[in-house]
Amino acid sequence: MNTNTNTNNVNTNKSILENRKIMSIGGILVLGLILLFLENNLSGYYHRLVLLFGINVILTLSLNITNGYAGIFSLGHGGLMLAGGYATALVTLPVSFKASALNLPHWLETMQLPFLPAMLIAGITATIIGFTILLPAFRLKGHYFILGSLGINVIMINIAENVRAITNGATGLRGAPPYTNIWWIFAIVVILVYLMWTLMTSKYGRAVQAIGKDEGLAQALGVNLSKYKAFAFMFSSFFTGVGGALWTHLILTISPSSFDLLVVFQIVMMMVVGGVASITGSILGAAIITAMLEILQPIQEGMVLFGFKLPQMFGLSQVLLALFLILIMIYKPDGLMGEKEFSLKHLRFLSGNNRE
Amino acid sequence: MSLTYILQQILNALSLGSMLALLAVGYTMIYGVLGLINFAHGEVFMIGAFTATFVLSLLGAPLWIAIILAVVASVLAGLLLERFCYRPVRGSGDITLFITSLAASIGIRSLFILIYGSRSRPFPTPEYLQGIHFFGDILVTDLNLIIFIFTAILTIILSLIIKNTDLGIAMRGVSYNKTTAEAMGINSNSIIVATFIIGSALAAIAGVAWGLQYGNVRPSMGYLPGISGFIAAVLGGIGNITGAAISGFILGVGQVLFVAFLPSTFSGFRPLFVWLILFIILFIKPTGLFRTNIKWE
Amino acid sequence: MGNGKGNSRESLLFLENLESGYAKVNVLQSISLHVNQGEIVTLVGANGVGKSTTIKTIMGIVKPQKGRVLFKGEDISILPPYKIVEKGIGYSPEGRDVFGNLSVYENLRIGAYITPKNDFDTRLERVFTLFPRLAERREQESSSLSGGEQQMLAIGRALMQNPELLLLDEPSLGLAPIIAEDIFETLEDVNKEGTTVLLVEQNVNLALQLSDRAYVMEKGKIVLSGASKEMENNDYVKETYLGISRN
Repeated sequence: MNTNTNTNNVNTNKSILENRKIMSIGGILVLGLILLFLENNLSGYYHRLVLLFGINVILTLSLNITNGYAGIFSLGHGGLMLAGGYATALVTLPVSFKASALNLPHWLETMQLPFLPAMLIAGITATIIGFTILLPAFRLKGHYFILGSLGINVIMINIAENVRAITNGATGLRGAPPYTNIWWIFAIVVILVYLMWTLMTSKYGRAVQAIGKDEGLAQALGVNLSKYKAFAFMFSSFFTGVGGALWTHLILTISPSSFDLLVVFQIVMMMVVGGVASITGSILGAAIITAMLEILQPIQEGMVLFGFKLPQMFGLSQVLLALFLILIMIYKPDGLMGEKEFSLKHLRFLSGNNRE
Repeated sequence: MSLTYILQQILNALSLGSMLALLAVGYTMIYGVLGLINFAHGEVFMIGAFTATFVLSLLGAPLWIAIILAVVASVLAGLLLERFCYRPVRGSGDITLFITSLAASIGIRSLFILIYGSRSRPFPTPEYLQGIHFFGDILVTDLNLIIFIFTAILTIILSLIIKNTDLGIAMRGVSYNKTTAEAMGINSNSIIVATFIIGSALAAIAGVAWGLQYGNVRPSMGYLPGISGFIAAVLGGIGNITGAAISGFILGVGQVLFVAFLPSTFSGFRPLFVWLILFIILFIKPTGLFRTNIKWE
Repeated sequence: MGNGKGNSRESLLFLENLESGYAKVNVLQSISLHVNQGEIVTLVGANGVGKSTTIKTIMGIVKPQKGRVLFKGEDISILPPYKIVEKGIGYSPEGRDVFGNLSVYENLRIGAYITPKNDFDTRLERVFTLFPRLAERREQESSSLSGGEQQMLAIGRALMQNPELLLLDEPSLGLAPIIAEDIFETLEDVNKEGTTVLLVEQNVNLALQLSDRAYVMEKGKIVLSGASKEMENNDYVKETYLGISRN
């Protein structure tokens, strides 16, 4: 955050705001040009990597709202992604598939929505589910909340496996339309970053962060804990559901095992590696872990190295990620960015133009 | 739904209840001294089961040797976890500790998938344990009975140790206030190590019991029983050995009855039972069923 | 320095230019004091001047940033608390800090944790003779004791180690005057039986009556030291700590 808050003069404030506005618009334009360049010049594999990175940024930022800023550590976000994914699949899948494989009410069976409303429905579904299941868990503290939130994953996976009329059981839903593209993803990234930035610097956001830092103090200052926690959780759930929808329309299938604890673990890693309660940290973390996963993927599936065929090594990337995370926890528990943000001040030293 | 049927279901669930009880006791002790949900406890349980599988099927050794080696392997795993994962992050906050244990859990599980693949391997149950008896209409398997009795004896011995020995009193002291305990001459590190040894040994025995009862083991076998074990520990009152054991039994038996009373199409919902119970109880009493200061019994 | 008898370096306990504190804040600024065998020495001062920190540093709970703690000539400042207990220092913490989840008897057993078990009964008997109330409450959970009883238990627990030096952090805190006086009388008995005592107190009046020598602490520094009898008559002490004005 800003360090020069001592010179709190109305004029400078105004000019800072105006500067920021110009910079933001400029930034978005640059981002747009970069994306246009990537869209036209990247081959299939790298293009897909950029998409995965973008989705991971959305998921990591969403998780950071609760786990980083508000200090409510949730492992339940996999269940929320599942809710979003299934919701969007159900309103976009071909009518023929729904009629043959599922047993849906007529209005849902015939429903075929474009991406934007489908995504909104995904977000809203995740919010509702998150809120309903979490209502009891909200009363819990610390470890018990983590435990309760883990229950959301187990419960959602279990429901997806067993309510066959809607979810098609363990096989899952196939043939979701390929809506996800670079523009949708990064438009949502920009919206999310903008909302988070605005919120976190607002009175509301500062209250949420106060909860994260010290519940007792926040309570003493008269912050209505449950109200802000609920708000933070709903905000986070919505975008997690949207992330699940983007994922579904990229992979084109969704099944009960799509977003299990391992997926949540990866997102927790992205958040923790980058820096808890830091927007740029989340982006950095998503980039690092997405890259690591992609580099490890071919090794896992058995690659040919200098003429030798290496055996398949499933599980290798999880082992290495786990080790990496434990080392981070031991030596840099606040993540690479800590609670700081990457700002122009850092850029001056780097004299480069490596902007996100 | 006859009484015989219910009794039969309860008897069938005795071994599951025993395993959850053993896991819950380990969870509750480690949480007591360290304030840590040892998420990797389920993996320590899995390591015990795998070790026994290898000793039985590759070496063809008798069961008691398999149990001893399983305990040795799990204890070793528990000690390595404590020394190299948890001790370095002790004092840097609950969340850091928890993330570390989550990473350890997933790391160990994935390591076993990497080495042995994710599929189940058969666990050779000795023939002399496969006997069955009928009492009227009720079927009793030897295995169910043996696992239950073994667990009950272990739990009673353990609670006597906690109640009466210097080690037990020191454990309770460390879990109440580590700083003061150290200022009274207690080396809290060695108490924590002792706790990990006991907890891991119990997990190993639960792992062997699992193999005997269900006839197979796999790397991810520790996940759901591990969580159920922790839920039982929460319900029984953290630090309360007897409470954890009894809650473990209740959850195990309850799971089986839950399915038995529902139409068969709902049998897939069995894992939800523990969560249902957890949410109901925590909704009534958000701090868990125990007092705010940790009390061992 | 060295208002007492004997050379500081040959004292039972000797703090040399000790600096310590929490995080980046140094609470103690070059503290030097010594306690001779058989003495009762008191460290008095207002709330928050660093008295507790001094005792916690001796016990190894807070690590010193500079200076040394010598016990019988040996530097113990690098040792963890449980090793310091083994050297022969008993500790009764501020706010009693008894193990609320344990019974009185179990608390005393923790006190005797590191000592040989053969004369456990003799030591238990001694503690019960010094504090008969504890004998009556033997099996009671200690969180259910009164403040005074908990204080007795904290002192009794430390005595179970048969310490050569007993460190007491604010034993009169929150107690009714009669009970505090009672406990101080018992401390005198303990001292007569051969235990050296270092007492940290806010109740300057009581502390000076009990002790042989006293140190006065203000803002992390020792500002005054000397025989307790002389201190009682010192104008500054009278005015600042005993509430007696100069005229």
